[in-house]
Amino acid sequence: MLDLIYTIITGVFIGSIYGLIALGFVIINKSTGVLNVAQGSLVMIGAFICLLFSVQIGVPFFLAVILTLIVSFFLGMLLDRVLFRPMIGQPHMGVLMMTFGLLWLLDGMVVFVWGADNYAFPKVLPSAALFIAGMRFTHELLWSFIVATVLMVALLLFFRYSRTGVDMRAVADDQQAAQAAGVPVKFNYSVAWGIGTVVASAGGILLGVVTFVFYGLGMIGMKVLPVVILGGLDSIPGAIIAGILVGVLENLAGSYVEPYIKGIKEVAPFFILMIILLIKPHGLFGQERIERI
Amino acid sequence: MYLPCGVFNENYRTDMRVVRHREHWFLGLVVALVLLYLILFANDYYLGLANLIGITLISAFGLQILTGFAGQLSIAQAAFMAVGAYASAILTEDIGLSFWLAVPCASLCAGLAGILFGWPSLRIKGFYLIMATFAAQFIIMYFIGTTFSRWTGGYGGHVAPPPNFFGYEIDNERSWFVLIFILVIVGNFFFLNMKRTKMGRAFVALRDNDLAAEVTGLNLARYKLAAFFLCCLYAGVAGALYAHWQQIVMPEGFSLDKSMFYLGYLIVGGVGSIPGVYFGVIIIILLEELLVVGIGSLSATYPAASSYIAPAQNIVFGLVIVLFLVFEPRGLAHRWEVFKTYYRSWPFPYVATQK
Repeated sequence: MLDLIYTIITGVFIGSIYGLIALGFVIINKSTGVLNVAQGSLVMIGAFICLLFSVQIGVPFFLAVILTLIVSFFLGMLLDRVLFRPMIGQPHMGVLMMTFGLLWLLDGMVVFVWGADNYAFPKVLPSAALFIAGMRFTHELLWSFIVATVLMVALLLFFRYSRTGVDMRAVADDQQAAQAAGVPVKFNYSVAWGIGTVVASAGGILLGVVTFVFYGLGMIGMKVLPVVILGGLDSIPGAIIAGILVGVLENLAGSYVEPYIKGIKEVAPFFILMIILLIKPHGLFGQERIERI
Repeated sequence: MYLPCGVFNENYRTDMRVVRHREHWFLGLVVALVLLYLILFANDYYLGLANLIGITLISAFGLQILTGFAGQLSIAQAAFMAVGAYASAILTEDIGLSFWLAVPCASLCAGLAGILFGWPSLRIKGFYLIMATFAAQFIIMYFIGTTFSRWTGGYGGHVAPPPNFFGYEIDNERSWFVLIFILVIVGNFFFLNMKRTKMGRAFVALRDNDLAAEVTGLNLARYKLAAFFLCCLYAGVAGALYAHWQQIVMPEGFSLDKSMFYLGYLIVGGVGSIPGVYFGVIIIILLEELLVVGIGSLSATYPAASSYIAPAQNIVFGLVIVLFLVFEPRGLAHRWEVFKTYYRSWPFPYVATQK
């Protein structure tokens, strides 16, 4: 019984990071309509930028994190300006392929610069494990859960109360009406990409703290795709809940099905994805669009 | 379709002919001469490169049917190739079937896998379909790599014996070249007039507006699954050829990257165009090879250079895709059309109405 609870709780912790990354995806999709397959690569590049600052340049870790987030904001704006603004009005497949191109580009660049080695962030948390009610947790996992939750709440508040957040929701709702009402649509696109990239980087840093900083972070970041499908492509609470759900299900599969079917833990999210697509393609909270001919 | 002055479609037979006019004869002659030159004089290195191009072409034909004609996106092409490759390897090595029987069986296996994983396409499309095939890629490769490793050999790979043609062992690059390019021509032939068949027209209707197609009485489910089946038949043949050509199948050869590359070939070449497949595949594979050679020659002075080949390929490929999408979203096939129009209307270019 304790095992089960422990599995579920660690699943929630990891899932909160997935949820955070998925939130970045949903923000970009909601406001710009781009389905960013390269979100996993943005996660990876965020972790590596932080590595660059904290280890290779030697800035204190927390300062390095803040610097990373600032850099990723501008990186996101740059991506929007250079790659995605020319694609406005192009067919969906083209925009999707653009994100694939971005994926190759970022993956290639990371391996080009840093190789396929494992790196670690400097230790800032005590390495002794924490025992709560007889269950063993690492500080890293606990802290990343807290940080992910704080970030998610901050984002929700940002969308609820700040001027830019409200603007972005307006653009997401009806681009033309928002433009007519004086909302700077292009600027909002850039900001959405900036925020999406910042969130991805934050997720990357958290994943890097929990595991390593390595090339495979992009693959872990890819799990955002099952998450957003489960939660619905345009639902912010959906992304958070689905992130946690996928984390828990993956952990449960790893503990209870793994002995019978080898390798199930890694594919579990994709099985979930397949089942969701068959049963409820628009996800738990997604908006179902009615099409006209 | 633009035809030069003086070429008319008088009946269905002339309409369907492959070789229509002088330029076609000329291009056909050039291609035949290049192939002949490669068969007779090229060394193993160039033949190997040509074989890789040929196998990729066969698989890309399949994806062109699915994506270019029927409008269904798939990023599991490499996984479907893997199904064909492993099926053929197991059938020949473990069961002892002849290569010539094993390849059709393997391609059928891949086709069935395509139907299975194309099933979600009945309800979903666009990004959701991409995600379904994305899941298919992972599920298939994990099953091959770990769950069924007893039969597939897992990450160690599985041996695929070279085929035997009436006592003649096909195990060198030259004989493979002949076999592969015969299959490329056959594969191309089958989808040359595809757009004109009932099925092809159904695919195009499906691509352009699926709701309208359904309203006009098209059985969407049937044609979507048919598109997946055909695509995966091609993928299965390509995978089986790849397996026997390499004489060993490894899961690494069919990764997600490879699958995404296939969509990239179509983007660079032009989605929905037959010459586009050739342009995309040949140009990108040659570009990659150029990188390998270029960086490889650097490694004489900088020994570490060879580890940069794979990421450099990714960067260049990503750049090519991005640049094409920004500057020429219709791919090289469109440039080719523009060139042909220019050539035909040469002294009086203002006469031609360029599309």
